[in-house]
Amino acid sequence: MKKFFGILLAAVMCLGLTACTNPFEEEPEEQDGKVVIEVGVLGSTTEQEIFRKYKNGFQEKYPNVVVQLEAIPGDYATGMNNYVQNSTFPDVVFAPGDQHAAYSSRGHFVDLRAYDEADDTFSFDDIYPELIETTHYDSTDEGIWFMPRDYNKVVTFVNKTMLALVPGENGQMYAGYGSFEALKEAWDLETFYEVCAAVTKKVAENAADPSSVPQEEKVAGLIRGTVAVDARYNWYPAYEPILRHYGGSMISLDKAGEGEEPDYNAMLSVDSDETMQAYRSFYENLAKPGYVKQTLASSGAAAFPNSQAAMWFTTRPSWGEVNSANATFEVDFLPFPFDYVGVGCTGYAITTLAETRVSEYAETKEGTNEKMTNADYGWLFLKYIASEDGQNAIGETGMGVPSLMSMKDKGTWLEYGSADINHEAFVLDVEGQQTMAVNDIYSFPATAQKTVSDNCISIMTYVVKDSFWPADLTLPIDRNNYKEIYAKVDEYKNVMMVRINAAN
Amino acid sequence: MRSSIKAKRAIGLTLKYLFLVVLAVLFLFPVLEMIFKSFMTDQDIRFGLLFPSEFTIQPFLDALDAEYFWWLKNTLIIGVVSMLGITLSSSLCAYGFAKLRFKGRELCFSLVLATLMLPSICMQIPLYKMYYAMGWTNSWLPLIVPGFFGGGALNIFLMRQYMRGIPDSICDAAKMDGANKFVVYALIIMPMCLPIVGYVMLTSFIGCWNDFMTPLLYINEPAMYNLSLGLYYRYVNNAGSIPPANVQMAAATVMLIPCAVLFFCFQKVLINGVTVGGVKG
Amino acid sequence: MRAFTQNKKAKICDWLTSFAFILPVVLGILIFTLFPMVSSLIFSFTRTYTTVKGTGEWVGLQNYIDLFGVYWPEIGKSIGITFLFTVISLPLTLVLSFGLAFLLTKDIKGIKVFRVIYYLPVMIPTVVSGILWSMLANGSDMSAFNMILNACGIPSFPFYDSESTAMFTFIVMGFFTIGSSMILWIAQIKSIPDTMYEVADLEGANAFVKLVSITIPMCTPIIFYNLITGIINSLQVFSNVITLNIEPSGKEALDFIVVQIYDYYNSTDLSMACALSWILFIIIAALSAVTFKFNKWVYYGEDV
Repeated sequence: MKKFFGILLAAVMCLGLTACTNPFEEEPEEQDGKVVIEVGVLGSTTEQEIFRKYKNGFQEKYPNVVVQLEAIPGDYATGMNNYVQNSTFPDVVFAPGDQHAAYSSRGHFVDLRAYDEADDTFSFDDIYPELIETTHYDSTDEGIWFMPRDYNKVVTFVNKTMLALVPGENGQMYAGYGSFEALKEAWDLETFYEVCAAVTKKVAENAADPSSVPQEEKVAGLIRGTVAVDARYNWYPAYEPILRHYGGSMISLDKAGEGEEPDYNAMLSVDSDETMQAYRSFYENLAKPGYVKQTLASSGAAAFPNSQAAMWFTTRPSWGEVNSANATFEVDFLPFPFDYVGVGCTGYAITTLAETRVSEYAETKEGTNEKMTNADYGWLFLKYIASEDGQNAIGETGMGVPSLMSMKDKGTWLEYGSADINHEAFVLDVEGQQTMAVNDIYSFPATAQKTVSDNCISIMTYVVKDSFWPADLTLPIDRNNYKEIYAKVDEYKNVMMVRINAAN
Repeated sequence: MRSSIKAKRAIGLTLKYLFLVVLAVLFLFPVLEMIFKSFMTDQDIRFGLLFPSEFTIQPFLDALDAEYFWWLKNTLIIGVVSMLGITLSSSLCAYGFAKLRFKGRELCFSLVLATLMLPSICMQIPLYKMYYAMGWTNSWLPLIVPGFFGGGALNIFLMRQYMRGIPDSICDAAKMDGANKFVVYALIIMPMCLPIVGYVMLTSFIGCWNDFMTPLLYINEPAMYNLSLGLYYRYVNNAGSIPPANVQMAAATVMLIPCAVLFFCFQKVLINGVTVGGVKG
Repeated sequence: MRAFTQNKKAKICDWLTSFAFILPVVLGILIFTLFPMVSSLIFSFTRTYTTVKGTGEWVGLQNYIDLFGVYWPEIGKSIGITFLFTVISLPLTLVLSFGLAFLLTKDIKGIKVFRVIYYLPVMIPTVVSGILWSMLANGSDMSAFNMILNACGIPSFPFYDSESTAMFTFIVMGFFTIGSSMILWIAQIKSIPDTMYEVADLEGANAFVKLVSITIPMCTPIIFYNLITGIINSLQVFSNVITLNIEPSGKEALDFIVVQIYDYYNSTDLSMACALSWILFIIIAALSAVTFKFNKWVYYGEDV
């Protein structure tokens, strides 16, 4: 009897499954007589949605070209290494500002400056200079290896629904400010800490007596386990500006020295006294219980989209994550509260392989009888992305802030969600705040960059732990008073230096 | 006197059962928790509940999309084909090692056993190059074809042990009647080996169903993923946002069902399979 | 003379038809084992980076020198982690699975149900168990284990999310799959003839004496088998680690050798990966050889 059921189940499954259709097959598209270029796009749904917008707009403009999506398997590094190993790069490939160096420095991408010079209709000067900086692969490199498509400044995401239930000292909601508008007016580092304290207090009260918490507060997430801010301190664009605010820095380019060979040991200033001081300030101010939490929570999803944090330091594309998590709260935005702020971007690069590929339907280049390569068509696509049309296409998805300086205060991106939302936070130049590009890691040899980045993150996850700090934090910083934390940092620095030296 | 012994025994038995039940709860906990989580609402997940406050099937609707069924289908095809390959090939070889006498047999057999000790990771890179050169990467061939060549040292070993238990006189009698080696294998030995054949079929199917490392190395096109790889790229190594816990658990629960059903139906075969011939020798 | 050649011919023919049966596995070993093993040894003496084509430039022992030189802090740590895991997990798994099997060979009603339940976690696919355990045993207050601990008034435990407790968690989670070795034990214990126990009963031996002087000695083949496969498998831990979705600090404590090899593979440093995998192979071969060498304590019964 049991066997019969087992076999029946297997048979039914097989029958049912042979009937299902391949969901990965793209809808058939008229490709006859057209130039087809392949574009590698990250596997996430938001990325693919953005790409489809580009595709539609671009193909309308160039009806004889088809841009075809190819999903990059796995995370970016896994997927790219797959391409490298098999030399199967698509013509155009997605390139995040903080991860392209390993490929651009090894000659897998095309330097876009040549295309820019040959093309009068385009100039990289229209794009924010901070972004152009991230397109180089190290501090001496001047190549522009990908086309920045968005302007990603780190801002503070705010869970308005939650804050509306958090009273301040004076009993008023929004941590004592009464309304979000008032909070926005008063927003600075002091205010940020006040909000942190208020949320932590409220969560602690509710956790102590869970039975009497009103349903409304429960749903908003004011329950045990919720933190004030998901500070993403395992993410360079978030932790490095905070460390700089406190006077330290993990990577100090100004210490590179004058010589031919940079002084990597000094540049990697994770163990300098100033940085140690900054860790201490970070620990004292932010690592209090209930204040921060790093993303990449083991439960999978990030804390903020699941109402487990009142604030979040992140960039515009994360808005998509909030939406896809079926969030039931209102989101608004405030600037990053520290004196430094990280800016980065993502974009698309043309691969060197595309230069060797020529479609049989390609047109000839103007003034010559040479046929256009796939790389030339890739350039048309990249140019479209950086045009006002392309920027509006991504703006419609809500995921991108334009990389064109001229679109600071116009375009579809300002209308996404609701026009009342504080979109300005994404492009605001806060007084006294210094914008920093997030590509300092490129100053290290390409093969060592991943190790450096991983180990810096590890250091950040240790400096927030109580066990490494002495009970008395007023002691002056030196290797004697702070033995344990110095030892831990030294351990990581050694690992990094090993890789850096091996790469030289 | 006698009653006190009886009482002692009863207490001992109760304690034994109590202990077994506690252990059973412990062993069932992960699976039960997985099933409970898959029926939870997002909110229950957020509250960290162990048991759903209300049952919902929404996570299943979210997890079981067209891609999931496609991967399920891939996994089934790979599983069935390699199951057949492994069983056929390992039984042929086991017959050769158990019932035929020829020069070099012992040498070959110790060679087979020695492969048990080689770490599979050592061979991955040259194999990758080889498969790449043959155009096999991004296809199921690397997952299926090696099974047809021997089907694994352990399977050969178990089958050989079982076949050695069959008296030679039966084979000899058949040979007298003019049957050749293959006929003896197909018509006499195989029917007598059904328990161990069933065991090898089951374990190889389940092994294939759960296989993760091989597809991870050789397959990078979503349409070719098996379920393991699909779930890995969706819920562990994902460039975008990872769906909430209830959806993950729903996907995982469905993946566990076929193995669990097979296991419950054929647990006798599975558990007896290893007893066959023991692991002596 | 003719008879002789015919005899010889028949012999060759017989050999060929016999050999044909084991031909698949012989070919399999040559193509899918021996050839890759040798090539990987060759690759480990070259520098191959980018593509799957070609063999790269010959660098002699440089890769090995690098592994034991500049990369030693990382590699040494990985080797340490792998050994730590093996040394702690292997004996404990042996003892626990034996204990479990011993319990389950008693003739009590419903024992089969328990056997099935204890074996069930073995059926969980690797990927599912990775997802599952990182959900149940993470350090947040909301994870299932911490909910239970907190309900009992015990503060949250970091489990997988801290470098100091991740290995402990990993080992304990591994115990959920002792069902597979338990089954082997049961088979062996049940195959011990009852007469041996009866004789012991006549001599007035108590349960402990019977365990030590009959059950365990009769089970030595399984101990030996579990020991060898245990060494081989626990030195090659990989899938169970990379399917975990845990904090980086936890992953650091679980940086096993094969995980390192995969990292090299994934960063296209193929020759380094080959060199490291050969080091792993040598470790495994050496340990297995030692175990085989000292197998005098294994009781093989009358038929060897």
